[in-house]
Amino acid sequence: MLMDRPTGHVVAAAGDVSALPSAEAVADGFRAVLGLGAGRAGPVEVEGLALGTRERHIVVRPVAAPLPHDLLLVVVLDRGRTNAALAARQVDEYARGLLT
Amino acid sequence: MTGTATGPGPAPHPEWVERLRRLHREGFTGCLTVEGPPDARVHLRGGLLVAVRTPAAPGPGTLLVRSGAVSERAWAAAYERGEADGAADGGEVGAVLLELALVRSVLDGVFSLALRPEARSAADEPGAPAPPYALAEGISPGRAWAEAQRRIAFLTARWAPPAELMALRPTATAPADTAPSPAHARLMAGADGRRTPRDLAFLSGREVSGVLADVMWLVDRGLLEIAAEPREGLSRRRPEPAAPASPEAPLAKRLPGADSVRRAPRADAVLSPEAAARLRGRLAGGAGAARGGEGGPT
Repeated sequence: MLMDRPTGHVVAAAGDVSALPSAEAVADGFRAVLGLGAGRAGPVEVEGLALGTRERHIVVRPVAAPLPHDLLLVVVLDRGRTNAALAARQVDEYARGLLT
Repeated sequence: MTGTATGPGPAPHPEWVERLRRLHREGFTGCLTVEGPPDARVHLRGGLLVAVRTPAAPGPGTLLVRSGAVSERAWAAAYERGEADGAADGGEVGAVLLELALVRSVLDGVFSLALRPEARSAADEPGAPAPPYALAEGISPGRAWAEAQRRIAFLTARWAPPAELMALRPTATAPADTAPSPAHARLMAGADGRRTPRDLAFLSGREVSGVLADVMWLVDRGLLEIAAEPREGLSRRRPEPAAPASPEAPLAKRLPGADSVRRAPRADAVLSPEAAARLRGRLAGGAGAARGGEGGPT
């Protein structure tokens, strides 16, 4: 799922969309993570989020775009069939090349 | 329907919404000109929205250029090409980025229009050409309205009805380099107490709805504050950071006749005879005027 970070607008989605989290919830979650660093030790550059549930890995990555953190790529992976580290790396590469 | 203090704010005027639905059903191709404020030109092809141009929300060119996604030169070249042959081939502008900007400008344009519930007059112009850059595959008006309503509800649930937030003029309370992300830093750099969220959206090449969300979050974080009254006159000047103290550096020596622009004349500098004569003449004229036009050397 490709979504707008500030508003939670779903730009595009593919695959089993029923497994995707709510884009508005992702927007709120990403905002909360950004807030962890705001106003303390200067800016924080969030590389992404990874959340594990019993069945799934949820990986959230900012898409390399003209303005960072404007678009988020959200990928849901089947935990039983996925190497989380390898998948996160592949998602990183995909997010970097998506708009460039 | 108009908003209440606890509701999501104003909804688009039903007559206007119904008109768009009718054009969608009829497979209308052309332009719907809406009289504002804000004015708008809503372009449809086969009943689907392909472009919305309104001063209330940035168009695709502003989104691409002001955000730094493409250079002004590249966009100008692409625009000329688009006008020349009518093909939305972005050239140096990447196809995905262009598509994204076009979708965003349509949805944000509809969102911005949805914030003004007044009845408006509108005129159909069947067959009116779409702008050089318009969506190849349009968006149904129903889907665009639904997204606008979702954004209004999203912002209202977290902060306040966006129609009210649009009038705010935030001011940064901290340097932009303390912002949590570059996107937030640009907003903080532009928030001078005079710009509204719409102004900031145009300034930074972003959607109005996204700017509203980021502005209100920065207010929550204490990195922006809302001026009680619109600031008039010059924008707020922030103190410049002090230069680091260096015990080795001596104090600057001030020379008579020098300022930050001109260096002091050399001690042995003299005026040329011609320059001295011109200067004497000016001084004499000025003094004469001051004395009521008596003239004469001083």
